[in-house]
Amino acid sequence: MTSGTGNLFVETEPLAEAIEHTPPSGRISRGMLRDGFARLRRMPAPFTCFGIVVVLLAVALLSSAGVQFTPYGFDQTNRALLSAAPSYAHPMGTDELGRDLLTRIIYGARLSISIGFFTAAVAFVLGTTYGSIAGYKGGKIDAFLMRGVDVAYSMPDLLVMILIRVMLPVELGRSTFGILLALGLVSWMGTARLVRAQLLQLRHEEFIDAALAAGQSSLNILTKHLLPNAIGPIIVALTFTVPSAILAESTLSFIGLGLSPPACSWGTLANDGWRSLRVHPHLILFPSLFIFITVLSFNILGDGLRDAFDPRTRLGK
Amino acid sequence: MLSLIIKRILWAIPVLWIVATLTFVMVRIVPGGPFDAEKNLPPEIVANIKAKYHLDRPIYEQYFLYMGRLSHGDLGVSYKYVNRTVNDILASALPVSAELGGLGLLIAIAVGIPLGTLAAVRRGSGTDVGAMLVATIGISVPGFVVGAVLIFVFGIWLKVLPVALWEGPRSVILPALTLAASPAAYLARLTRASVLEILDKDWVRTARSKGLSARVTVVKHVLRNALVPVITVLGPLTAILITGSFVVEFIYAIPGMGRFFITAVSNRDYDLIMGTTLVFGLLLIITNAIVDAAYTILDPRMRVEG
Repeated sequence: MTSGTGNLFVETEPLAEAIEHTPPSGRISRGMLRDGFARLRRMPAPFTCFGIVVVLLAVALLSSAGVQFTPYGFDQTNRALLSAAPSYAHPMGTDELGRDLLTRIIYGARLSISIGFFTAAVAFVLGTTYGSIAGYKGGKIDAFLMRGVDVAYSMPDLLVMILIRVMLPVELGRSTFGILLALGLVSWMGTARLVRAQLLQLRHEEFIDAALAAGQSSLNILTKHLLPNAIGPIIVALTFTVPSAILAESTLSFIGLGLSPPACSWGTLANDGWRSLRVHPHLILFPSLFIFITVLSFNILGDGLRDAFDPRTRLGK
Repeated sequence: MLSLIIKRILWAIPVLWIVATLTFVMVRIVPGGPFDAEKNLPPEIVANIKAKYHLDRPIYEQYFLYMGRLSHGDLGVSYKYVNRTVNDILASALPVSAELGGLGLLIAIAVGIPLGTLAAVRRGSGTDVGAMLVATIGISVPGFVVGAVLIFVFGIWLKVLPVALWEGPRSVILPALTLAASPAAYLARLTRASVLEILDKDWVRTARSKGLSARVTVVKHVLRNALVPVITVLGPLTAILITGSFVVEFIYAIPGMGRFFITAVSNRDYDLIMGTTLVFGLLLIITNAIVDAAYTILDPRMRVEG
């Protein structure tokens, strides 16, 4: 299906795309991707969440680029306004040092959101490579590699992350790098399993035999034919990796085993707020709300993408 | 089948040995020891303390000492909780965590499976959308937020339940609810997907057309099959509960495994880190063995000689 006519008919004839949808070749699978996103556009909730994700990402990126959204610095204290309730000047109030909470949440968004995306990137690279080797080679190599994943997968992420943190020197373990390392190491197994399963299914398709017969190299077949056809489920899995990474980092920071000051993420902000839950509940409310909205948006977006790429699971008839 | 379980549990020994060795070596080769935090102790005293716990010996010697004791079931001593052995701490902490985790699991199952089944049976209806919205929110809220909200509403605002500590049955309620929130949501989503898949099968139509009521069909035929994938997540579920216990025991100040693990990590209390990690590992191995056994009960096709 070419892009022009495809997009024209998408709105009125959802079936047309399914009928015309012929799998197998690198190029058409990019069309598959586009079809998926076209379907997503017709799902109100996931598409709204997609918008929220874009806005949050934009705010985090602009903030890193030096754009100021509020008239305060993220570490600018104000002794006259300690732990103040929300007001016009400080829409989310101030913390125990009189720092504007909204400013700190925007600042924390950089870390929380980039941790999420970075982890997804690591999961993509490590998981796809590992899963590709297992799925493409098959046999004993596959069995050996997957047994390893099974063992690693059955460990609770947070337990492993904490142990990795213990195994790093103290300063490194508490740094952003330490957290990223720990998150990266626990997050790729799901993607690896998925890629392997997809490749095992696709490996025996006729178009792969055709490519082999045409004398294409293994790497070429993998990157040009196999992976593009598995890209839908991979994207869905990565969409779920981002929120779990954000949750894991915030939980780790909340229990005091994650980032430590001056590093500032939504998790460390929630930890600050926790200590004054009784007297100043707004200090934990707002960071928690941002974690919740972000994670929820990614989860709903992920559900939507999954349905978009695999219409069988769609809600309704 | 019993032999299958025993075989799987015997496998635990080499796995735990690898975990113990890895943790032991990695924890010790990095700079920063358990007594670095003590302020300005004269070097002689530090040397004395280290000698007492054999931390001045070469690492391989420490390793053989530790493994020797471990083979007798002696998990060593805590450096931070002076005069308490790790065995002693674990003996007091494990029942607390088991009670909390067991109750959390029960609540999660009692809420999650019916909710997921209901959503699947009424697919596409308001009930379905509502149930899945609740479940999606459930997996998106961090445990500490659930805890903070419950504490604020029931402990601080309504003042009907204790906000922390582990004293009497009333203090179990909030922690157990906090712990159950995420696995309940996870179970509901999983059950829905699983039941939906089974409802499409031909034999479900057969059961209905021979006159069975919708209720009997679902409860007797569909659920039995749909629960197979649900049982298999008992492993990941235990993992979620262990992770959850770190947070829940931290915010409610409950003297369970999770809290001792966290404080041990903060204090680099080597033997206590090892002890808690090994117990968590054993727990996971046992649940995975149970899952394998449950497979064979629920799905006769899975029965293998063993």
